[in-house]
Amino acid sequence: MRRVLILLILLILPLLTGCAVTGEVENQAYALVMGVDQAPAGGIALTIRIPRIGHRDSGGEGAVGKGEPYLVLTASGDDYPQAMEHLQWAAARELNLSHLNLLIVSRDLAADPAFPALIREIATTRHLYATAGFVVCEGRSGDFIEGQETLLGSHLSSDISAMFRHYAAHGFIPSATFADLYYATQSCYSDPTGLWGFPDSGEQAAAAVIETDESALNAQTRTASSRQYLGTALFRDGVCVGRLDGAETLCLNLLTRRVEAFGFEADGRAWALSSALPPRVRARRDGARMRIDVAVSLISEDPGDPSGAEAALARALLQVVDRCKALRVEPFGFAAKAAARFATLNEWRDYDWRSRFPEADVRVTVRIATPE
Amino acid sequence: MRLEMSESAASASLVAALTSRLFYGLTLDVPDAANAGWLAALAGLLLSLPAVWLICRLRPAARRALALPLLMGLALDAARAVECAAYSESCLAFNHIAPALLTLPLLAAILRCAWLGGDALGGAARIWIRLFAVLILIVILYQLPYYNAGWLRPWLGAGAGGVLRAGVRAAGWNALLAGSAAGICKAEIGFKRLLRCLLISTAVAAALVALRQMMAPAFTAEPVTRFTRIDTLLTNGRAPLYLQLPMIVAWFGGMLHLMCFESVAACALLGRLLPKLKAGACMAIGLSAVFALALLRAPRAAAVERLAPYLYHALFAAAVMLWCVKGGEAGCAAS
Repeated sequence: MRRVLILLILLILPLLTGCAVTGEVENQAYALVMGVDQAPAGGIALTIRIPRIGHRDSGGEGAVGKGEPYLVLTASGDDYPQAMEHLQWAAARELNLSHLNLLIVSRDLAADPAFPALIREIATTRHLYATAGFVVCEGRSGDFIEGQETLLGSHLSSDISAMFRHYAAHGFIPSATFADLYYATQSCYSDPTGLWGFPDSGEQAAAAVIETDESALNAQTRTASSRQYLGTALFRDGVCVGRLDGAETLCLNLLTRRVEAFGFEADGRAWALSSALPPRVRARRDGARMRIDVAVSLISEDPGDPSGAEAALARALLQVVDRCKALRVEPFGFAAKAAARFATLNEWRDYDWRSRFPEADVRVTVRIATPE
Repeated sequence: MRLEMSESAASASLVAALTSRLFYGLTLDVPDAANAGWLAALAGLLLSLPAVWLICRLRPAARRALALPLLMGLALDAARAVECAAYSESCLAFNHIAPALLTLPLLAAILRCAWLGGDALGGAARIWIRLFAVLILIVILYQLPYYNAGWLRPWLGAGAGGVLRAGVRAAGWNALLAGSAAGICKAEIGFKRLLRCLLISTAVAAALVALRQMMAPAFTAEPVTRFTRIDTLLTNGRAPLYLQLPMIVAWFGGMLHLMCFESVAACALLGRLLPKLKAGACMAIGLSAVFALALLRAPRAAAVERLAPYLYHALFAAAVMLWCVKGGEAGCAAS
């Protein structure tokens, strides 16, 4: 009797797991990239890129598909939920957002005062996991996605991840995910950032340096893709208010985290530098004003007196801080340090860091360790 | 079937269940302390000590009488854990599933666990504690670059009031589960042993709550829904996608232990309260109560929600009254 009962319970369990309606891979439309735009007729337009089921790369064995390995679908609606509903219909299969790699938003939409509400709606979409990279692009995100090539023999998903890892390691882009944007707009710490994306102009010449803006980059580089990512989109209260170019983004990264390798020119000499540790940030209250001390420690493989480079880099870093102060944004993560000077979240909120940051006394010191 | 437990089984079950209760309570149920939830866990330990000490010192007759408020609290809390686990399943499921369908497998697992008896639950808890440590270690190692210690500041979070409110709730769970463990032991379980279990559970839970608060900042812009809390905890965060599996296994394993311990303890306490009732009948009545409360979603009822903050007050008051009426200072083991 006991064994029968146990067997009965074990037999019932698989039927009660909610897996009766199975979600086969072939029945899922896995969106890897999603673009969000203002629809031409008002409302929201969504564009996704999904892999074609059954397609194999041309070099792989057993190629069964022909043509583009990815499908691009677009749907629009009066608002985000309606656009998503229309996209569900357009996908013709179960739309699955759990493997989203990239969320791209047009600059016009990101600069719209209604964007913070849209961030919340996107973040609470079922199974849209917020680890996706977050990009603000020049022009319409739908066009941006359609023009995104996949490199020969690579999958779009791994291609994008590898590219962003490489760019982040060299400080070309901030490390920004959609979760960072969502959390920052919902909390009272530093402002979020996004990656800046722009189409390649097509006028290229071989070069390998990162210049201060995309026109210079386009003029001096040749890449495999017509979609480029360089620089930072800045947000204040969830609305895009400006951007930093490649060189400024490197400074932003040096003030917030570790940068594996980068070049810097000072006193007519090129320095190959890397940061061994993230910068050390200290905050203290000086009356109503906050004083922030940032110590950036770098390593150079080349011998020589680094004092000129240290001073020049400190000036460059302070210029970026001043630029952000002028825009009234604080993307450096100083808030988490400054908050320690307050006992409770209410006190910290009342202090209103985001409006006080332009008055903050920020001091930056740079130390470059060179071989003896 | 034997619902009562040996001292070591009760200790292991208590640690596994209480750690889960404190973690899920302070991150989902009572986020009053905001980013100072870990402080609330420590405050809860301090606040609960007098009540646990008092329960330990009660005479057997008084302890039998205390079984009534304890089993009522356990049944409701077990149903609450079942409801929360079912809700988190629905957040993770790709298809929309009826809540009852998600609740039934959990109830089947509790039934099976109660059928095997209290000592089996204790044995499972010993294995789970080791497995849980490995899972959490994997999560921490992979999650390490994504933790932001700055989000723990300001240190007092929502303020002393919020920390105290959450601390009182934590004290209630401590008193409920530790009092129940003392009540369902075959032999006397000493205050020192309970204290050790409370210390371990609180330390682990406080550390986990602090780590969770380093995963996402305290949301201050608008009220946070339960869906958002579960979503940011289990899936929708800055953590890589592949970390979801160990996190979800740790979450549901912990919840399962909590539900099973509370349900089995409720049945065992019913047996203590009504000694003439056979173990099978205790199990039938106790589990039926838990199942009914869970399926009716009673713990989410407005009246129950209003009363929930007073769990610690009720247990402490009951222990004091029984001490006065029936006396204490006896039946407490030395260690």
